[in-house]
Amino acid sequence: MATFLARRFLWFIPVLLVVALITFVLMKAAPGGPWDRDPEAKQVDPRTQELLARQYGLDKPAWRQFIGYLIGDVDKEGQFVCGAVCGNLGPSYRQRGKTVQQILFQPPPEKSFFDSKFGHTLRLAVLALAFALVVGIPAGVFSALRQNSWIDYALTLITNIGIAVPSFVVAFFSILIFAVGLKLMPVVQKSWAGITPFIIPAIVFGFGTMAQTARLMRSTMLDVMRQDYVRTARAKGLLEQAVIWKHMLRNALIPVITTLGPAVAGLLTGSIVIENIFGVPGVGRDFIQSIGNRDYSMIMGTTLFYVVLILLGNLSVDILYGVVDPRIRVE
Amino acid sequence: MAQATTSLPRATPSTLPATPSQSQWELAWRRLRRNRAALVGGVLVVIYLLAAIFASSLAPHNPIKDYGAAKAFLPPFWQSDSPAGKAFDPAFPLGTDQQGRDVLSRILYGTRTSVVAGVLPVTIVVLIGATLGFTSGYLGGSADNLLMRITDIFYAIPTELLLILVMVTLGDTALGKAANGVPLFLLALAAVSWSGLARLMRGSALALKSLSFVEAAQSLGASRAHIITRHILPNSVGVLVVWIAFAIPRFIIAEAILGYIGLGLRPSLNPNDFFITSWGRLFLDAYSIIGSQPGFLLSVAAVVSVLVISFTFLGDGLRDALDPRMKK
Repeated sequence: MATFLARRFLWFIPVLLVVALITFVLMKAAPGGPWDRDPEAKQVDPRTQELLARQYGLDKPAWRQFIGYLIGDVDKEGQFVCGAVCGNLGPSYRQRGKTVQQILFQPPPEKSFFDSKFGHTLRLAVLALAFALVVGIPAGVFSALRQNSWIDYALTLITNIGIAVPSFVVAFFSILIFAVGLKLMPVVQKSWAGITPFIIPAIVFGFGTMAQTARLMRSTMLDVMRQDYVRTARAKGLLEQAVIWKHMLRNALIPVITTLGPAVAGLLTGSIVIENIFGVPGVGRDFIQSIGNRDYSMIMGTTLFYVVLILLGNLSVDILYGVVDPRIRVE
Repeated sequence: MAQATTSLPRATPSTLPATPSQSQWELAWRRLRRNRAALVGGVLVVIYLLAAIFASSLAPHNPIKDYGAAKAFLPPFWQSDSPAGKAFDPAFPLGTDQQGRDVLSRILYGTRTSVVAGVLPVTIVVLIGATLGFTSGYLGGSADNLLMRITDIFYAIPTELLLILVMVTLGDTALGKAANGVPLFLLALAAVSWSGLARLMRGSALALKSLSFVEAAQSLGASRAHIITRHILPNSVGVLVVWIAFAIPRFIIAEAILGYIGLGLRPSLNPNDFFITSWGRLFLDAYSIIGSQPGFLLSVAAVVSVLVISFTFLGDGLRDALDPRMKK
């Protein structure tokens, strides 16, 4: 297990390196620098631009900027400043005096971590996941136990639609229904404190995952129901409840648990669009704003952070596999 | 030889059930025809295709002509009056936007762009992904290893994120400005989705490679190119077709998301141009006037959902028809 983990963590290095390189090359290929404004607006004068470029180390050769960003570089006083490897994602070009990690993770004064940018994204993702599991698993089980009944068909239709229609489109429908039609919420929320404002965005965001969970749960339940050990349990005269809970559910949950890793990673990193539509002040909305602002260090930092989340999500599945199902063991 | 077989009971045409021999495709078509949901999906997809092709003849109005404030915010047919207090006008079945432009015509023209945005990239991705996947899967060795490592890396990058990155950084270059941004969009989509297909095709080639008919062809001295084009490729077409059926709606949605963020195709202001608007732009336009014209957003969302659901039903049906073993 230790060597397996070590190997997997070592694999993170080339992945992150390639992602950083792609992002860096793309940003260098983009015309215009971070100090350019709209062509119509008054431009920052060349002298100031030069000073800014020097302050942010943009006057150095590209390769040195790249390595300096990832590993670290010597600052003006000759001190070594550690780069992305130490979690230092660099100073934001647009939000002066703040580093990228401060923007992403630091809550406003006297607020908890959950009120930071990432805290909002996290709250959205956790609620979406909770919705997906709390609704998806029972729906799948119920569907399988009542196979070919009208309720099974109805649930299957809903899951099919949930899988087909992306959250991007579901979001607009939900705004039309809940904000315009029923007037249960404003089109754009003013406060994002607590849980309530997140409920509808989270349901929308988790809808696809819910549908996938329900479909998977249904098919594995149908599979498990035909296993010999279930027949044996029934033959022993166990109560149907015990057969369902102890013999079927436990085994049918295994595939669902193993999809959790990618699901969590997907929910944490996939909220860019949902955050933008609902106006959730999270990492994803910030990402789009920093793109408009050409805030390159923000773009780079957020991208790397997202990729780390996905890598950890994928890794956790492989570990979970071994934990929940002793038949599968990592070599 | 002939004598040895005469003594054995032989299956003659008269002892076999009287069904004409059927090719794999005829069988698949029969299975598909029995699947009602898939058929409905297929018919709807064809209708959308026709609407896209004939958008200019079907549209009742010029999609970028503004009929002015008097005709602005007209309600769609299911509302007798709009929040803006205007009465329904039969000349504008789905109503008008804030500039008095006809919503139906705009959606029809948007369909054209979005269908192109879904279909064109698929061709490119299939060419790149399938070629790389087949060759590496069939040849194996270090080339295969390299491809797998590269796809592993792409697997770790969220596609949305990469797509946005490419579109935003290259959007203002000469490439991004060319032809309404279509070439860049194609390139970006190809860049983010080739690896998934390459992986799939590699798996298919690997599985087929060990089957006896490929072994037989090898022992008869068939060349690699012959085996790939005559044995591996035809037997992977089913997997490929299903992938395409699911990829097209994904690409259409990708365009819609980019358009909504303001990064997608650049609509042209010349009514004679091909790209006047897209579904992504329409989402952006419609969401910005949701308070005074909610029907616009509803129309766009409904039109997009129906196509996406149709493709899913068609894709599910194709999967069941082309490979009954994969049936859920």
